[in-house]
Amino acid sequence: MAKEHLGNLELMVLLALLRIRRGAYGVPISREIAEHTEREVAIGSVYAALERLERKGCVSSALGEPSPERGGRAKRYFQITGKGVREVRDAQRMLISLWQNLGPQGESA
Amino acid sequence: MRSNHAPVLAAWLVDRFCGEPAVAGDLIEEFREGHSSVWFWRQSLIAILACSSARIWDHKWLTIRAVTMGFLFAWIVIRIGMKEIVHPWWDAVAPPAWYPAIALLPWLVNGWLIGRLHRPYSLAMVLAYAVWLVIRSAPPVYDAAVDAFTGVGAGALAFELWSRASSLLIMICGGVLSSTRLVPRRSSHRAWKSHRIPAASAFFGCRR
Repeated sequence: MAKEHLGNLELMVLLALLRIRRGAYGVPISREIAEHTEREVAIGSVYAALERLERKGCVSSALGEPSPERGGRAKRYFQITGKGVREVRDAQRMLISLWQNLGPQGESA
Repeated sequence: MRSNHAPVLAAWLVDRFCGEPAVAGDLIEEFREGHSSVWFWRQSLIAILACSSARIWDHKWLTIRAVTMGFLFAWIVIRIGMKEIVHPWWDAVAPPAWYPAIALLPWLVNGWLIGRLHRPYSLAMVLAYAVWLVIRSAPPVYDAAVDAFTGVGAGALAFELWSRASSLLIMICGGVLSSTRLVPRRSSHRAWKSHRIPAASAFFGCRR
């Protein structure tokens, strides 16, 4: 079976999870991505990416306690798995390899 | 002054369509940080579309089954049953003006059936069928628009738009009904009774 590569948003979500480490849920993940990419990421899109990543085995999740300031809804905490870390490293290697022999403007040297 | 209540209807729809309470919880948390009701509605719609499209993409065969089932139901019950049998009989026994209300009932049943038979992806499948209905509505609406702009029948365009939009909305309502527990569970009865009902303005996210 062909290896399934990470999408752009999936890679950003995994990197955000690596940066946050503990207590990562929808809000801090989307803020972390927004802070570093300077564009707003909808929470719904972040959850869709997290759902895909969880199915691929790249993240695991656990439900917290419901709180009144969230309308009685619980937080879902996410954590990157060993497979997720390997996928990020693979993506990094692949991108570095593609960048090699390219000039600063992207022209081939 | 900005209301402290996030739009309850939008949060409820996110709960129904995404099936994950944490999504609406995150949106409510962000809303309390100072975002507007318009922001909340926009984020809710994005969340609904993102959750549903991911499920449609991941379950293509189930989507094809849902759309085929909806199409067959509409063809047999609505096109043949309602138009050929019920409509002529209805005109003879009751005021014809009431017929549109009766004609919308099968659409409610159609959405309900699609939702009921495609659990746990009920609402994603209902939305997939809704997209199919919109695509299928394009040629007749286009023809009616051409007729209206050439001055042949302006009323026909309004009727075409109204009837298709209302049947689509009623069909989605049927799907939402299929995934909603109308009678609360026995164990959650006390929590339901003690739940503070928000003001009407909060329900639609209006400013006070």
